[in-house]
Amino acid sequence: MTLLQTRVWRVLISFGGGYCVAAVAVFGCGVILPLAGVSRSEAVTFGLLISSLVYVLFFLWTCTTRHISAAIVVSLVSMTVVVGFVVNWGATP
Amino acid sequence: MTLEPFRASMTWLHSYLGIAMGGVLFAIFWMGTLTVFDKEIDIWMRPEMRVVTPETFSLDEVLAPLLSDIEDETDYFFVAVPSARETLLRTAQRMKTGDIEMRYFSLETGAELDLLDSYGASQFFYPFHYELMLPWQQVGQKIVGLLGIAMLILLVSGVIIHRAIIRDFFTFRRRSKHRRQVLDIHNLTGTIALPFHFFMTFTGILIFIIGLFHPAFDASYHGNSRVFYEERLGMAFDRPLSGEPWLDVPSLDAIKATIEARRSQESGQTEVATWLRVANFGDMAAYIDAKQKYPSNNVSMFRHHTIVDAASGDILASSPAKKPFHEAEEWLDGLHYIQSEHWPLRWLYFIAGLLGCIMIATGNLFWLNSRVRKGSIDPGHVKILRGLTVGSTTGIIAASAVFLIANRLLARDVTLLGYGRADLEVWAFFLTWITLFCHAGARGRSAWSEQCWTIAWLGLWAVLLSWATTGDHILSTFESGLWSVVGVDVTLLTGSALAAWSAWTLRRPAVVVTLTQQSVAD
Repeated sequence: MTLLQTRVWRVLISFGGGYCVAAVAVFGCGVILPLAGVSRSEAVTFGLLISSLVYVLFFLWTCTTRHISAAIVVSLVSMTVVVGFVVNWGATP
Repeated sequence: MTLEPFRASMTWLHSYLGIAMGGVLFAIFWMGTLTVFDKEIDIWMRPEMRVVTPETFSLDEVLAPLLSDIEDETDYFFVAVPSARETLLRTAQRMKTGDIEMRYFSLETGAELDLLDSYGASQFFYPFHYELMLPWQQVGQKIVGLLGIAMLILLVSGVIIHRAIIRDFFTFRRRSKHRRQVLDIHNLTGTIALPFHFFMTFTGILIFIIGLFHPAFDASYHGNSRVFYEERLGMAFDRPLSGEPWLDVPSLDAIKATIEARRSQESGQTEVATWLRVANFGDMAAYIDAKQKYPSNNVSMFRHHTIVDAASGDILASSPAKKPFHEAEEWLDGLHYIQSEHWPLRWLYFIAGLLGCIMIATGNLFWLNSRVRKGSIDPGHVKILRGLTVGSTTGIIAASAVFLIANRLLARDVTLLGYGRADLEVWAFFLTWITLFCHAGARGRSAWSEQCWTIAWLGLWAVLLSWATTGDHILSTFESGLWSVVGVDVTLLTGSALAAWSAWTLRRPAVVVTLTQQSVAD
């Protein structure tokens, strides 16, 4: 694969994967923090506060890591979780 | 996959993400910078707003006759009290049909004003800033949110690739080559306002974050976002209609005074209720929801609500103190909206916003000049890229000036092809912008100086036309204390002078090249 193709693939994985990872961070905070006694709205607000930073960090990591396969696995797992909760939410009356 | 060193990959990311997003990011930054003074530009564009608000006033004297007249058709009625930046009393009446009617009143005379049909800055520059005039399905907001993420990535990668960021802060090589000067300006403006760029981008993303990550948000609340807002506010209040008409129109003055006294006692400082919403309008079960959304002496955007019974004036509910994360979020929101009455801070925001615009424009210019010098781009593509770069920077600035000029030139009741005056102002903006994109593509390198000259003339004309159409020149507005108009006029003249200086400076290298070519030919 050429350098240009590598770069383009990395940016695409970074954008898509970063979104999914950040969305999982928001959802994760909304689920995990209430277990520690934090109210649900505060937990989700905290998740929203950190989500853009999670997105940026994942983006930069994916663009530079030697272990791009790890980034792809994390992206795919996050994407599955996102699709999972979109479908589940859609099923909620 | 081929792997490249960390800093090299960051350089590539910074360059190409910057050039791909730079044009739209400039538009967002430019419109955001103008929005810092949106209410002042509104007053400049709608001369009826150029009034002095009395220190004491009665809402009942102005609104009681109107409230009696509209009982039957109104669902709720909203009142925004004037502030240091808003001179008129603003009301919104939501009909039972769902339509909303806005009205403006002068507190000096108590009369309802027929304002000039214009979107002004608050309904054109501001929405352009956050949704790029693409309101359908909040597409524009999502694009701006993702561009915000891209901007954050550009800032982080920019810091990483600059080995000597402290040295860059003090570096400007005035006598070096043009390309080097451009890079120095890019580094300098980026470094000086780096904290501003970081927090404005971060807080900007935060404002859209619910829309951006709505699948995760909806999953947490099973699609019922109202619960989240009620939990965040710490209260939920609803009262059904009784079916009986109210006995009398409620006294807004008395209710406002009750709420302000209660809030001042609770917080230990003077509180003013600036937003009042009369719900269940015309019914015995009517209530008033009041809040001070933009406190004058605080960064945070308060969303403290007090609910009062319209008939008795009794307090029915009041939102409790904020929890830490909610308070942090509102503080960060307030940091972006900058609605407090702190004028030096407002001017700092404006200047830092302009520095952001310069940073983006010089970044694009450096990228283009480097590729042209190396000869790594096809000449045909250079034309397109230069057209996009010039059009998206100087083009949008000139188009904004044309928007102001159209506001002063168009007749009050003008219509064209079914479009009203306000829409025609927006058409003037977009037609100018498109024309300047084409001009930049056609004229090549000289487009920079030509469009800077255009900006200089347009700024001057805007000030002269404001004087000719309203009779308010800078000295008279200065004497009568119309600081909003003085500020806009002086900023336009300063902008014109800077644009003329830029045009003159940008013209010089072209002259040198021409003379050199002439010498070689001789």
